[in-house]
This record gives sequence, C-alpha cells and structure tokens, in this order.
Amino acid sequence: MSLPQKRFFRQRAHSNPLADHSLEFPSCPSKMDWSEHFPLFFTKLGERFNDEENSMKTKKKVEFADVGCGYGGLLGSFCEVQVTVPRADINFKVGLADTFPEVLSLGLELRAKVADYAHKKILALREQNKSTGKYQNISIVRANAMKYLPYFFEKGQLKKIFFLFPDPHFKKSKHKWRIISPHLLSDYAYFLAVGGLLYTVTDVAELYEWEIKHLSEHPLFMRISNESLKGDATVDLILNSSEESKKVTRQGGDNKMGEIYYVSLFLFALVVF
Amino acid sequence: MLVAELNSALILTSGDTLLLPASNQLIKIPPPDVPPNLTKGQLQVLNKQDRTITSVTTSRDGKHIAVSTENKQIVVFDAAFRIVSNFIVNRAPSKILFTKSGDMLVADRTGDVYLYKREKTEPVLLLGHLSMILDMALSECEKYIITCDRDEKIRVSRFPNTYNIASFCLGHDEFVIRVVVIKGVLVSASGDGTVRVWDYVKGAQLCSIDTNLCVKDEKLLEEFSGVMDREKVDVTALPITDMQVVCDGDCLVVAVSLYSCRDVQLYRVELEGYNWTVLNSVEPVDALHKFYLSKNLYIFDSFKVSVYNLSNSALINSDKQMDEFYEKHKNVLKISENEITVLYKRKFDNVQEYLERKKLRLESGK
Ligand SMILES: C[S@@+](CC[C@H](N)C(=O)[O-])C[C@H]1O[C@@H](n2cnc3c(N)ncnc32)[C@H](O)[C@@H]1O
Repeated sequence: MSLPQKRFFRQRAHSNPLADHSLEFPSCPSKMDWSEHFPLFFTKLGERFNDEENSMKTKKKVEFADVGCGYGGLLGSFCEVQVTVPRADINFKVGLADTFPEVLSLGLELRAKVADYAHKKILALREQNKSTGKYQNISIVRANAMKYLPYFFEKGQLKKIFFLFPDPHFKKSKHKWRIISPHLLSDYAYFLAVGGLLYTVTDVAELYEWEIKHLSEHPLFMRISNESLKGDATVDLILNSSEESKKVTRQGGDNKMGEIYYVSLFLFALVVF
Repeated sequence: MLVAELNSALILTSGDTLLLPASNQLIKIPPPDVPPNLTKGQLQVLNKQDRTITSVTTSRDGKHIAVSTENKQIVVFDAAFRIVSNFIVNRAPSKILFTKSGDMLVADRTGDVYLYKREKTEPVLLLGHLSMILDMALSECEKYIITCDRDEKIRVSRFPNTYNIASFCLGHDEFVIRVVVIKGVLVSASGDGTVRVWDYVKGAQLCSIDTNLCVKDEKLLEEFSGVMDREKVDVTALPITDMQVVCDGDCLVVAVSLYSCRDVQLYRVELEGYNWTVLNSVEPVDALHKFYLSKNLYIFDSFKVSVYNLSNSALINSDKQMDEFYEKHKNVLKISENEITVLYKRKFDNVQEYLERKKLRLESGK
C-alpha cells in the first residue's frame, strides 16, 4: 500500500461545528464496533474471543482522545520529526502510537477529507509495519466532537484528552464554535477519569487567554504546575508532532517555542460536594 | 394551545391569552414591565412583538403559575391570577419551570438554561446545549436537572452544580421532545416514534415502546415520509408530538399523540420489571387539538372537551361549565400549527461527491 498524498485531501480550513452534518455514529458507546478501528484489540460487536489471551484484550478501552486531530500527526507520523527542544531526559518518539504502545488513542476530526487522509495514513502505517505490529493502537473517526463525544466515550473512560492548535474563531459571534468553552468543559470532565489530564496548546494569544480563563474558572479542572510537567513525554509530543505544531515551528514559531506559557496543562480533579 | 393545572382547575392557553374555565375568565398577557432607561425605539419593538405563550408551568405548592412568551417575557401570577412579576429575559424561552424554593429555570432556543432567583439578582447560566432545548425536567429530589435537545441527546446534570454531568441517556434516533421524571425514573419521547424509560442517574435504558406499532393506517407514514423526502429528510417513523405521564398505583400511564394521527394512545408501564402493555387508544370526534392527562384524560378537539376515565377509557359525563366555556371560546382556541417538521435535520453532506471526485482524480493520476 502506498502512502496517501496530502494534495488529494485538502479542504476548506473551517467547517461549521454547529451545523447538521450527516455523520455516522453509534446510538450509544456500548453499540460502537471498535473492532473496525482496532482489529487487534476488539472482536466484532457481540462476538467474543475464545482464547484466553485474546479475551484480555477486549477489556481495553480508548484512553486518549485527540480532539480535532487534523491529519493525525500526534497519533503517529511517517517520518522522524525534527526534535526542536532536545531534552536528554526524554527518549523522544514520533507519536502516541510509539510513546504509549499499550494505550489505545483515537483522533476525532470534523472535516471529511482530512479525516479520510488521516485514516488512510494510519492504514498505510500499519501495512508498512506489519512485522512489528505497530500503529494498531491508533485510529481516527470523522466526528463532530462538540456534539457527539457522548456516543463514543463513557463516563470516566479517558485518561488524556488533547486539543492541539484548535481553530481560534476570532469573531465574537463565532466564539460559540470554540472547542473549549465552559459548557463543553463540563462534557470533557465527564469523559475524563479523576486525575485525567487535558492538554491544550495554541500559538494564538487571544485563544490562550480564553482557554486559561475558562479552564481556571471551571470547578472540575485544576491547573498543574510546570514543574510537574517535567518527565511527561506527551509535552514534547504536543509541541512537536502535530502538523500544525510543525508549521508553527517552520514559520518561526516564537510563540509556541520554548514558552511553556502557551502550553496549558490541566489536571482534572473531581470536586466533592 | 397549552394546558396546565393549578389546584385541580384546568388552565388553557391560546395565543397571548389564558383561559380559565373554572372562573369563566380570559386573561390577556399584558406588556412587560420595562426598564425605565429604554429608548422609544426599543419600547416600540417590545410592544409590537408577539406575546404568544410558549410555555406554562405551575409551582408545586399551587401558589403560582407562570408563562413565557414569544417576545421573551415571563409573567408570574398568584393563584388568584394577580401578577406577581412580569419581566424580560435575554432570549426566547422554550420552557420554564419552578424549583421548590420558587426560583425559576428558563431554557431558551439557543440551548442555554438560566436560573432566575427570586431575589432579583442577575440570572445564573446553568448549562448549555449546542442545539435547541426542547424540554426540561427536575428530578423529584431536585438533585438533577434533565434537558433534551434537537439532537438525539438527553443530558442529566447535577442541580444546582450543573457543571457536574451525571449521565447522558442515549438511544433515541431523532430529536427528543419530552422528558418527564416520575417515580424515580425518566420517561422520554422522541421524533423516532419511541417512548423510553430510563434510570437517569446511570443513563441506562429500562424499556422502549415503539408507538408506531399501534398505528393501523400505514398511509400516514407513507404520506409523511413523502413530504419529508422532498426536504431531503429520511423519516422511518411518525414522530411523537406530545407525551404526558401519570402514576397509577405501581404503574405509569403514558399518553402520546403522533403526528397526523387522530387518536391518543395510552400505555401502562409496570414500575417493577418495566414491562409495558397497550392500554387503549382514544379517538376524538373531530381533529385532535390537544390532550391533557391527570386523574382523567381530557381530549380537546375542534368541537368539545371529552373526559375519559383512565382505567377503562370510558367517557365520563364531562362538566357542564367546561363545555359551555369551551363552546363559547372555541374560536379563540386556534391550534398552533405544530411545526414538528422543522426539528428534523436537513442533512447536508458532500462526502459522497468528494469521494467520487477523488477517485476520478486518482485514476487520471493528476
Ligand atoms: C488548526 S487544526 C489543528 C489540527 C491538529 N490538532 C494539529 O495540531 O495539527 C484544527 C482542527 O480541528 C478540527 N475541528 C474543528 N472543530 C471540530 C469539531 N467540532 N470536531 C472535530 N474536529 C474539529 C478542524 O477540522 C481542524 O482540522
């Protein structure tokens, strides 16, 4: 299988997330046939693995979600990325697929062509790495994450949720299109396990202020210190692996580069009342 | 036309008017009390606007009744129908509810729910959906608020800490138009033609009733899907237009009306085991305007009000005062066109087209 070429998959930059798209989604999380996405880890819906080793696998769940994953760079890439912030303490790898081989990661992307490209890319990566079985732990769905996350994930299922370079939607009237908002944060809190992490990175100062404000004000999220980010392999990944992060880096990217300020990471803690 | 009940007396609404059969009274919704600093232009706009009643609700203690109107007005009356407050909210309300403590929950068409405290402070934004909220309910203990929307979703949030979502009740295939909490369970009705009963704290479905199974005339669905087809909407069931639920011993009695069906269907759901049975179907003499379910089933058609006994569906000799009142004011009681069709999603998708174009391009190798 040859690698898909991006030029066949270009699409308008923004799609209205509030519009009625005809997207396929299961009627509830238990009706989702994950075997289509992770054939190594799931049997077809309703079927069971009959040997013991495989029956363990069915207990797996998607634990990382990359919301608005674009072309899927965070999940996995074709080539080694240039490490822009070399750090001796981290053995840098190219995506969630490598860095967290035991974890199932799912990307969600609204734009059909982009999602299609990312899907083909993952299939090609799997094909190329057949001997090692790599890239079986990442997949992507075309979905409107603002409306349909509850159909894919159960309460407390996710350990990490990523929002890398979300669309800024500058106009005030379009603020309701922003993927991080007080209401949607309540949804994300619902899908995250207690202690789960929400990662977001942007090179747009205005959006950064917005996100900080709403995340800080939300009763269920707590900011974690930059100190405790040390040693978190995902920090390097979110700064370097996605397509958008590479573009920002190529274009000079002072905003993003080196400034942990633009990487806001939040620890989720359940408020008891 | 809407129906509510205050201290066992029925209250009907039509357009901008409350109709009170018990006291033989009509009350028109007055213009709102406006803040003093409005410009002439703003005032004009306010007064010109349509005061059609969009939602009516009564307090549990029977002391208050409130209505919301098309022009964003909320009017609260006491039991003697004296105005207690009359104010304007920011966006057109689709549903209002009293809490036990007399505060008011207001859901609006943009998908937000606000809490208006009795002490007139700024309203508190409680939660938001990304599409129109069609109905809202509070659990009996008031620890949960349940909202349903034009998508297929029912959201169960803690109350008043609504940032903490307890569950989503998922399974409906179309917009959800009614949610009712009764006897510790949630009952919902949808455009997919089903009524579902839920353990709402867990988000688990307990039973599902396909009301279309009781529709004898297949042509009704054919006709409706023909109409919707022209609008590029696929429908596979006649949508439920209204649902009401009461408790009868250890059972629930659920009444539903379906789009273009003349009758009101009655179901019984056992609270233990959640088995359900068809109780009956009651057909009005003339086109169904509205039904109201409480101790009895009231059916309002274009001629009269008929009252049926719930357990045996027998026609009860209806009360004379109501009959005369209805006869006299029938012309006021226009049916509001039930625009259920706008709730369906016009699906636009260019994916198919895109895939075909891509295939061509790949083949031509450009
Ligand atoms: C600027 S791109 C960033 C892509 C990727 N995260 C990266 O860093 O390269 C934002 C992406 O989010 C997607 N998106 C926007 N709203 C979305 C939604 N509601 N659900 C899923 N994806 C969405 C857009 O289609 C776009 O591909």
